[in-house]
Amino acid sequence: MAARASDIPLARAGTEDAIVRLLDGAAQGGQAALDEATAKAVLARLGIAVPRGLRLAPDESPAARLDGLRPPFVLKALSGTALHKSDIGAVQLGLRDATEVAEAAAAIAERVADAGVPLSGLLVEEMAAPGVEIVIGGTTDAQLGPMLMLGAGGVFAEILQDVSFRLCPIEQADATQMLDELRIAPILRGTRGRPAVDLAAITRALLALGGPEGFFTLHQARVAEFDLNPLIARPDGLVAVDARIVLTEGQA
Amino acid sequence: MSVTELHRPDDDIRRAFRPLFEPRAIAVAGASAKGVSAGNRFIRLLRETGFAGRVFPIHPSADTIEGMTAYRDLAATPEPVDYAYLTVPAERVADVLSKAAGRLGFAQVMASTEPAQQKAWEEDLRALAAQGGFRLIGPNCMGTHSPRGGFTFMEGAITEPGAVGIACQSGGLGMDILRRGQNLGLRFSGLVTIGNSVDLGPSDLLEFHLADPDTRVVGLYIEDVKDGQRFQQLLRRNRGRKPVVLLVGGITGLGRAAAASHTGAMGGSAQAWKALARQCGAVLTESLDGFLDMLQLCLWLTPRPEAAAAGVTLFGNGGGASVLATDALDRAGFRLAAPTAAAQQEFARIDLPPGASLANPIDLPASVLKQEDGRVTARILDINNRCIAPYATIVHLNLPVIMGYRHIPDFLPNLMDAVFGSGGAAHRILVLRSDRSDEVDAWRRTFRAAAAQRGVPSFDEVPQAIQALAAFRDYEEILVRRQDSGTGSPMADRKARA
Repeated sequence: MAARASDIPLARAGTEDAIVRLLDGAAQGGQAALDEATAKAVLARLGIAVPRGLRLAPDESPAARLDGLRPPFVLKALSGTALHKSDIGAVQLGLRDATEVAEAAAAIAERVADAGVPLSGLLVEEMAAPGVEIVIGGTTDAQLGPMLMLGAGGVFAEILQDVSFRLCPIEQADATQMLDELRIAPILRGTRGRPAVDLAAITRALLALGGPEGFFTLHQARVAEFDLNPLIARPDGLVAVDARIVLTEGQA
Repeated sequence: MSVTELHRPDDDIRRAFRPLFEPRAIAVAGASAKGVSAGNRFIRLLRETGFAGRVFPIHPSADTIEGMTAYRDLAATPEPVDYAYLTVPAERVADVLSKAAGRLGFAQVMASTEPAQQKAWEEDLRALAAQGGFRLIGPNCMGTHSPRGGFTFMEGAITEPGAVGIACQSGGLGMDILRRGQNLGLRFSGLVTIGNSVDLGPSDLLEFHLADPDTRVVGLYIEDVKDGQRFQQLLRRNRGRKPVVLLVGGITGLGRAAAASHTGAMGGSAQAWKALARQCGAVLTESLDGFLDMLQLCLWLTPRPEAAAAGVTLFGNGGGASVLATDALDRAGFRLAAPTAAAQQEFARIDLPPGASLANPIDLPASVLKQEDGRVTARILDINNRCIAPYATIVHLNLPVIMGYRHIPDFLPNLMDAVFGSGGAAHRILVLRSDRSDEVDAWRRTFRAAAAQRGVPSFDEVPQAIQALAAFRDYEEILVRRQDSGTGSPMADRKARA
């Protein structure tokens, strides 16, 4: 069912070329996963919003580079391994200025080194405004192929298990039904005086990832699984504040 | 068969499978002159079921088997063979098949081999089939049941043609489906046990049964779908038009250990198959009984996706049973259909003793059911259909109590006529509750056969019936959604066929 290259409009074809370069570049570098900055570059090309931010080299001072960004900042370790960053203290939130960012960078570098994980750099981002945390992910079934997940997100996603799955490719109707199947659907639609989040942005993201010409549908040979967790859903849009894209083995 | 996105015309698909389902010549390799093997049993079964074509026993040395001329190999038969049934041991299979090139349609291989040799052996068999231009079924299976072809692999199987088409990746379970299914009143358009499916797989038989006009419902037991993409394409194209009921084995807890993501940790095979069923309008079941229950409903109920509110009328004898049934309805997301004013007016004209209730759940003691020699049931169900018109009517009969009135002439026939004859669009479901004594179980079998004759699904217990009805409702809802979003109109197709 995967679309052939000739089916993709010219503008899309350019985007796909860029995404393929990012995926293949990481695989050729021996990475098991895209680092977060690269994963977010992929999302941006798919039309899924990510926080404004920049990449720092491991030893680079942030002082000269934060001018364009609005505090507070979040700082994260970048690595080509498929790590759970918060498990090893590789994330710091609520940093107010370049000095705090520099201190946090040193502390993170030390903890990452202790955990034996290679550090390829650091990602400084503007902290996203709060909203409802959701997760969109992809995994591959040995018999039926790539499938897409929508669920209640955040660090407790696996405990809550409030999820809906569809095989790729999905249709618009599937995206809507995935939303409807969640227990948190009433929260997303607005309840108790809280406004609805941007539901159309969620279904657009689902289709961009798992639709007939979606990221996972087209690149299932390169991508084994992925998590966008959390995505923050708000009335004014949807932002992916973390992203992990795990590559299939042995394609380097 | 190559993996292709091209849609083959139905005629081509049916023609390709004719040698399997309607063979004119069957060869049997594995029958012996001494007459005790599985091959001998199959030849005798062919005689018993009156198979009209020619039968060629294949044997390296015997001249006659079961009184028939035996041939040295598949190259020596007087005419080409449509279907070869092989019960020879694993080490003999390749030898038998190597003589079949160009003059065989389908070979079904029952043997299995040691795990250490399995891969190489199966690869050899697949290569032989490709080179010899025939399709290979199995290995490690039990046979084929084809009423239209006048043959079966199972002693005691009823070869009356039916409309349920089955492919089963387990021989033993295939026999269970055949045995239990026929006791539920199901009759089959074909049942093929496909074992390890090294060549012919679930997708091939799904494609056939979707194209086969004799098959109205497809049932598949799957452990390894083999070609998941083609399987999905077939189901997606069908979009629930022809009901497809799935029983998938080995889907819990697989593939999760290696997950590097939250999604991978939460999404196993069970999630994938559930997603497939939702997306394609297939019905996923979790047990053999659940599978057979859904085959009944899909065969005999006409989907009513237009029925918006799922109100159900419960009708039966037994107060506690009615209360528990009401709870089961609620848990399954149904509600009791409210009696309308018109219904209440008409009900009021029926003379009932104290204790009987015509409010839903309609709970009538057997002593009331027997009134007017059982005809009172017909009057109540008629009012129910005309004035309440529920989504479904579940009639539950506690047989040991009802049997107490069997001395009244015409009571039981009238009661059954009332249940089976009630008109209206409501789904009709019959629950026949037994105390499991031999006597009542025998009555239940009689009633069940009568229900199957009239196309009324029957169940042993109310909760089981409600669970099946809820799954059928899910299927109907998928049909509605697919109607809204899809290009085709499944309901229009179904009505056109009816």
